[in-house]
Amino acid sequence: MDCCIYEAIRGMWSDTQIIRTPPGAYDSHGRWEEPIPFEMTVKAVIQPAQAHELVKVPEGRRTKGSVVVYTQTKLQTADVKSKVQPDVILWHGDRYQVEALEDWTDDGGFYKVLALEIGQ
Amino acid sequence: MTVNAPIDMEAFQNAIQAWFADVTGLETIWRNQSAPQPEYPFAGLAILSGPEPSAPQWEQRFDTDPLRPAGEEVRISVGVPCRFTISCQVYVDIPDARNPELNATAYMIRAQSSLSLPSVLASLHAVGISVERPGTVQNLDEVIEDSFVSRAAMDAVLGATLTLEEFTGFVSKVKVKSDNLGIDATLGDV
Repeated sequence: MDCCIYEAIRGMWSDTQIIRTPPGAYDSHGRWEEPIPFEMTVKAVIQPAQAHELVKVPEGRRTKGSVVVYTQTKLQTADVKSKVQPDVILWHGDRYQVEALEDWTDDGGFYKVLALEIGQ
Repeated sequence: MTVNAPIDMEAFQNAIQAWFADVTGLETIWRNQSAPQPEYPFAGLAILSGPEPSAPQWEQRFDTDPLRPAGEEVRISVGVPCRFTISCQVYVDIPDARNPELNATAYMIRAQSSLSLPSVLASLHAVGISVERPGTVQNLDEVIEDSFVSRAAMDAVLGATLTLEEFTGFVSKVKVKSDNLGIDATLGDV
C-alpha cells in the first residue's frame, strides 16, 4: 500500500521551505540557548490533515490545524539526546511544527510526517 | 512613564538555580521554555507566584542632592518586602528511581535541608534573597510513556525586596492664600 502512496505522490513533489534549528543547549543558569535557525528546501507533498480552525482563548483568537507531509528528506522532531528542536514547515503562509515522523523508506522510499500548526 | 524593574529577576533566578544545581548536583533548568527536555536525572524550576508584597504599604524615603541635574535633585525611593513561591521538581528514571538514596525524593530532601546551611543562606543573601519556608517534599511518581519516572516536588517560599525610585526637582515657588487668615503670598523663586 505504501508503495502505492509513493507511486501516487512521486510526480507531485514540490519545493517546500523548512526552518531547521541546529542543536542547542542549556546555559549554566538553566536557560535554553537556541542557535540561529536556517531555511532549507526539500521536495515534499503536503496535504491538510485537520482543518485550519479558529481557537478562542481568553487572551484572544488563534488558529490551529495540521498537515501530513510526504517527503524523501528526514525531517526532525524534538530530541532529548541531540538537543534539537522540531523542524518547522512553511506552507500557504502558515508555520507547522513537526510532531511525528514515520519512516517508510524501506517500503516506500519516503517519510510521512505529521505537523501541527504553530497557532498565532 | 516607563519605570525601571523593581527587582533584578535575572540575578534572582540565577541565584536560585545555582543553589539547586549545587546542592543536588543535577542539571537544573527553568521549566516552560519550549525546549528539549534534558536527559534524566534533572531538575526543573519555575516561579509559581510572586512577587507578593508582604507588607500593606511600601516604605517611602526621600533624599536630596543639589548636585544632581536640574529637576532631579530629589530622589523618592519606595520599597517593600515580598515573597516568591518557587516550584522545584526533580525527575529520575529507572534504575535510580528504584533506589531510595538516589530517587527524586532523596534529591529533594537534600535541597530542602540545604536551605538551613549558613553557606547556602549567605549565597542567597548576597543577592537579597531570604528563606521564609523551604516547603514540603511531595512524591509525584508517574508513569510516563511505558515506565515509571521518580518525580518529587517542593514549593519553597523565598523573600526578597522590591525597590523603585523616581526623581523630581525642588519646589521653587509656593503660592499661599487664605481669606480667613488674610494671607496671599508667593514664597520662593518669584
